[in-house]
Amino acid sequence: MKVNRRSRSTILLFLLPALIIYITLAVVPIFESIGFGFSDWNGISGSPMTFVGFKNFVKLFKYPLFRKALANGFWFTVLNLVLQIPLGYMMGYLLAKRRRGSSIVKMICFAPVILPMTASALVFQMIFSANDTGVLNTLLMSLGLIDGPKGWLIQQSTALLFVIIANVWCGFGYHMTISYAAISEIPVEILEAAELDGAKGMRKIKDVVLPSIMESIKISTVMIITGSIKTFDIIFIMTEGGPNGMTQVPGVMMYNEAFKYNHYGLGSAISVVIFVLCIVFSVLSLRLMSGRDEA
Amino acid sequence: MKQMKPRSFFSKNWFYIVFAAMVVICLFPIVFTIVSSFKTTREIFANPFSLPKTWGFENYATAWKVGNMGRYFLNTLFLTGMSLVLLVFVGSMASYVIARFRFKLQPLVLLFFVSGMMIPMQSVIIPLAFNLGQLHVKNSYTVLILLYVAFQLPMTVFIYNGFMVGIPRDLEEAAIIDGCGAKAVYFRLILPLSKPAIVTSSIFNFINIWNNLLFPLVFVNDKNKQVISYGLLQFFSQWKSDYGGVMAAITLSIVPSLILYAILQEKVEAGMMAGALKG
Repeated sequence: MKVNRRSRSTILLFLLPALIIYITLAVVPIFESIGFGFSDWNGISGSPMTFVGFKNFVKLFKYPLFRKALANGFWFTVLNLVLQIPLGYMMGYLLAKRRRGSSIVKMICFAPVILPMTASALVFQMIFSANDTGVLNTLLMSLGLIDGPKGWLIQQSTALLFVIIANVWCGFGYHMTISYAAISEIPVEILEAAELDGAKGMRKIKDVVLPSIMESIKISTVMIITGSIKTFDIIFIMTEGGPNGMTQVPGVMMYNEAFKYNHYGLGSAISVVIFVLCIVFSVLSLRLMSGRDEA
Repeated sequence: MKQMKPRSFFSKNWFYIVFAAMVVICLFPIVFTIVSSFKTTREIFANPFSLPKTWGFENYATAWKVGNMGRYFLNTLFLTGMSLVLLVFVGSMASYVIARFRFKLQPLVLLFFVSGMMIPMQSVIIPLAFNLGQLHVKNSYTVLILLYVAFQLPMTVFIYNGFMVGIPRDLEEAAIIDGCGAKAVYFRLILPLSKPAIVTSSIFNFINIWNNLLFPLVFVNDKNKQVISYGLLQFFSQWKSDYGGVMAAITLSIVPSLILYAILQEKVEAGMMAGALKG
């Protein structure tokens, strides 16, 4: 459609509601939060905000709990990548064979993806409960694998791992569906040709399937990385960052600093770090992976 | 060829063993929750794997009335419904212009909206708490609805735009020759034709808004205005020992999504995957 004066006003009229809502509630606040990261504010509305330069960031990176949160965030990301992608892609590959029962299996494995994280996290908190009536403890004790009840989410050595297991349960179905769609799109002729050439089993997967679904693996990787950097609900609900900071991650720490202790400047600084990490990692991982693809 | 038989036999079984294991792992927490919601707390403690002796709804009565879950459920339904309606109009109107009009800033406007997918919700809550505090706005559903619209818009515009670009031009041109203005074209032609995009984006938005915890956690502290995700957490922290009641409350919070998924399986999957598959 050509743009004349009348359609120019139409364009504005149709865009305006979306622009106003989006700019005032998402775009402006993200810039404000950067400004807040460089300021001090006690959280009492009406009290002034003072510019303090890099003070919050310097303080933040000296803060042992924040370093711990970054390290935990790193392991959270790595373990989610290492568990969700192989699990999801293996399931997607098996489902794409379309044997009997595949569609119902696919439906069941995808169901956790749509459930509220609050509900899933609470259920897993009860399953991993430290009581001898906890589901996992009951199961392992009746199998004779452990002598007494274990506090899976309370012990420092296991807490992070068990939160990650719950998170994998919530998320792998998503990557299963991505890989299922990608593998289903590989032309049958290519797979048949590979089989005629003698490529079977793992060789077929490595030489034919994997190269055709690289694009999907990239998408899954970026989504898991950015999702892990932003992670909040599951840890806030299951452990609140405990025991002793063993599961603390930047997302939960940011909430605690700002809304529990009224350290708004420090909280904002963390939120800036989260935002920057998200952007850097989306751009970086896409770059790195497309580079490897060409090589 | 002789070697093939035992191998293919093994691989066939391996296949179903993996499937069975995954089904048990994925289904157990959900079935455990739903079955436990009909058991007494003592029954759950006695044997977490047993079926209830009698299928009673006492836990639901407790959760609904004592735990205030009924209120939270209806609040969330209202909030989600209003946000969805607003998103359909605000999102499709913007996308109509982006997808069907040619103007200088068009690619930039699309990029502007879509790049919002990278804004983490955490990064805006402190400034928003500050701004709303200065305006003395508290517990406002209007703000919450507009917030949901703002954060669901990037994906919504992305979905509508992808669909609307593909609507044949002839239809629109015929309507314009018939004397329809842009508004009439939008309401009579584009909006009705975009039904698949409306369904896909609304499912995506429903799941995300229904499940959201962070915004109500920060912006709602009036107990009667609370939503189901945070309400569930509060119920859990107050009634931790009432396992049966907690299980009923959790079941209430997952039932709408499960029903939606049972009825519209393919569409729910397509909606949730929209960002990953077309991107």
